[in-house]
Amino acid sequence: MQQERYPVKAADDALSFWFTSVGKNGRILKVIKYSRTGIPGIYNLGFGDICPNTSVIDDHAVSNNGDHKKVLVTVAYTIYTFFHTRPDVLVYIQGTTSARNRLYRIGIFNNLHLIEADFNILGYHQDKWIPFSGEFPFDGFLIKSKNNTLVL
Amino acid sequence: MKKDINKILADLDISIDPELYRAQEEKLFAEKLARANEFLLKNPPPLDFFDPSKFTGAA
Repeated sequence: MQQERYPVKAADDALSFWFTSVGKNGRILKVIKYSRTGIPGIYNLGFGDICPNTSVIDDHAVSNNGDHKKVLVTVAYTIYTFFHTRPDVLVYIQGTTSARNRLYRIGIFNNLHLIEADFNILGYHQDKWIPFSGEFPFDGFLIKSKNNTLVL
Repeated sequence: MKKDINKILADLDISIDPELYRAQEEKLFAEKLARANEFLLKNPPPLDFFDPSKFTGAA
């Protein structure tokens, strides 16, 4: 990935990642965690902010730190890292709000030419899973690596 | 997670009580996982994910 991203700290198991967003509202700690779901072979991508003053993670926060593209690219980078160690699983992504799902959809759509080279993506739309399209709102996304030799 | 969270937070120049951080992180991601599980079990994804011809809708 050639787009600008934040440096990331990764856990040894490549299931947890941390980085600091730096923008107009200061420094915000971001945490990404991949967790096994109840369906074998599917991991959930969880993403949240931590307030440095209270240590409360606000799942619904809109950081508004002026760097959402850089943040999304950084999250995408962790997806590459995750799949590098687990190429045969699926990753499920669901925003906490419809607005956040819309943000994810736009982020995917704007980089679709890059993403489609490495991943298959499904979205959940009107009670069914369909291939990703920029035309529809989605309630959740499923990502699968197309190959085992992703370049980080 | 074997890597020391204290070191990670220090490397990121973030000042947070590590114990409080761990508690909040655990709570947050447990809730996220519960939501994901509920959704996925209610709306199970197709197993033939790699074959787009199996799906209807835009490609």
